[in-house]
Amino acid sequence: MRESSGDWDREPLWRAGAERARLIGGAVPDGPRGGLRNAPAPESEQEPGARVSQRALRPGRTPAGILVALLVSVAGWAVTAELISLMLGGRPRWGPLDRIGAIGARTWGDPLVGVLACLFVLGGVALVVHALTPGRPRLIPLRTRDPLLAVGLTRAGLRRALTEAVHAVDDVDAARVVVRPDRIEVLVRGTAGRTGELLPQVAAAVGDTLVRIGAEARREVVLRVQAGRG
Amino acid sequence: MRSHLGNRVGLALAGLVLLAAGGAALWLRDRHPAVPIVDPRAEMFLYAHPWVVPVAAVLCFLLALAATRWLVLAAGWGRRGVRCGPGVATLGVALQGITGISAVRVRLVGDRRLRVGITCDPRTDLGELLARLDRRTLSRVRMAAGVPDAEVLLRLHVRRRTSGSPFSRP
Repeated sequence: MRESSGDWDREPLWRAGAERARLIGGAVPDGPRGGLRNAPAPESEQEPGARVSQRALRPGRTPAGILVALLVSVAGWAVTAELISLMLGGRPRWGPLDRIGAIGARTWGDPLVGVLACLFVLGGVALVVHALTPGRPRLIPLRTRDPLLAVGLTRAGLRRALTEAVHAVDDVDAARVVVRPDRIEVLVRGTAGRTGELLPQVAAAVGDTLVRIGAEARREVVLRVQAGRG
Repeated sequence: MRSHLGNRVGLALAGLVLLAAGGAALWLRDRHPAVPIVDPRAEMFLYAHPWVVPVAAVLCFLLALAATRWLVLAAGWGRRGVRCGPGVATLGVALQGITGISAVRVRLVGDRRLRVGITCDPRTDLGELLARLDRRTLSRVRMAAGVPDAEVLLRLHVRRRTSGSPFSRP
């Protein structure tokens, strides 16, 4: 596969309607690789109230929630049991503390206390940051117009839909689509000597599919066309 | 519509408590380095004030109860919902004629949210499928489920292989 150079690889290859026909019929950048950053969404501009259901699909931080809830509940029940045994006439044993390196008998100036305090601070900062950052949704949010509707497409689903769309283009022998967090990479192998014609057609197929399902927002598409043998 | 916020609130509170405990330990380490962590006078204090231990036990019991409830909810209790047959039937009628749809699921979670899942083949026209899911269709699904103002969370998946579809016509 040839490598591209220069600025044209960030030039949008996909346009809607007449603009696309003019691009395909006119001068097409001569190279195997194309980029589509911040793809224009003409249909979404024509639809008032269209939005991407991002907030409803944000991760709920379930694994971290389960882990912290488990630790807090175990610690809470252990301390409760200790206090109840103390109420029933037992003596304060500080059992858990004594088992952890006899820390109950140490002074505040002990190096171990400093290390543990630093770990507490770091863990607290990590938990707060983990709770406050929005995170990346597992599903790809799609554009909707209903405020009570959130639509998410699985990554495998988007990959298969785009692969099917690329295979529908003439002279495409093989195609591979990779969906990454910030971009979609499409690798196409086509008939030898026709990569220049194939590139805008594949770009149009990918762009049309993304706009039709409403997944074009904030996602860069990178196309790589590889000439086949013969 | 927002995603589930309970875990984030719990994580932020736990993080703030950890931060406060670590900061207090560092402050005590700086100010009173020679004082033992578990002061022997604490036992005398407990004997002098017998009400402290029951109050602390009740507080710890409430904290353990809240944490256990958080654990159960975080593990998914109550978020799976119940299958909504009328909603499946209504959605199936609305999607009739679209090629390649292999599964439709509608579940009612709580009393305000519907979780809808649609699985289809790669040959399915996703644009047409999404166009069918307009406000009128979703309103019918909500009415069939008995929750006219429910939020709908739709999960769309394209399966690997094509198969016979219960909603497609030859």
